[in-house]
Amino acid sequence: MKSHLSKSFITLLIVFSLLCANFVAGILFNVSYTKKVNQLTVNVNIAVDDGIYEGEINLLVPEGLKVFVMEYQLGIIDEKGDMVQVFSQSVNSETRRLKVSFPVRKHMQNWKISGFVNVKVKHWWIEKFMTLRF
Amino acid sequence: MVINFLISSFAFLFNLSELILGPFSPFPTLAVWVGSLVIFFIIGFRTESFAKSLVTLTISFLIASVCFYLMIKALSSGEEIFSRLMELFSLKAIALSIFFVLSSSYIASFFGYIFRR
Repeated sequence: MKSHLSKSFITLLIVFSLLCANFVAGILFNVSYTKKVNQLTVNVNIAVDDGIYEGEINLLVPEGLKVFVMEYQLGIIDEKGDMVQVFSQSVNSETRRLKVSFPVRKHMQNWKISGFVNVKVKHWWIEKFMTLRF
Repeated sequence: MVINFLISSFAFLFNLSELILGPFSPFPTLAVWVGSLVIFFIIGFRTESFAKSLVTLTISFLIASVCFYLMIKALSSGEEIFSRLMELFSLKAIALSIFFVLSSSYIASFFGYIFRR
């Protein structure tokens, strides 16, 4: 009877400790992942120079986060707010910097630049696809 | 009997927390699910009648659900997170998963009962 009870008690302890460990580790990883992803930013430095949009897009990746860039999409927004796509590049690598240079017509030179970068973010075993807008 | 209640409640709680944690939990979902099925099998194996194991599992599922609800409420400081989690649990897929966990626990304990010596 005594050994039977102690076996049940040990099982109870094992299940309880595994549950606690899983829950606490899950919450901690969730918090650290959210913090890291919030630190992930895109730095866009593009300017018009003699009818040419020139510059670069930099991904600022925090330590401990693996970022795999899928593609860059860059567009110019006209006065009506419509996006006129002018640049798109598939990368499929860990390259975090992209140099951009393309000519534009004179009337488009004051239009806004906007776009996004599709990335795959890996932090420990957590792997997610996400879009970074700029 | 009390230890059976506690063990099965923790097993149900394990399954429910796995649903909410998703990819963030270190244990694979399949391991949690199979592990809890083994526990329910042992409960069915050890209990002298199947009706008793059914009552044990149903009550411990209710205990685990209430504990889980209180746990989320205590952990989520903002009302927004709490309402978002509740929305998540009202999703059909999640509700079906919970129902599946409960029904598979009954089946596992039934197998435990019929394979007892």
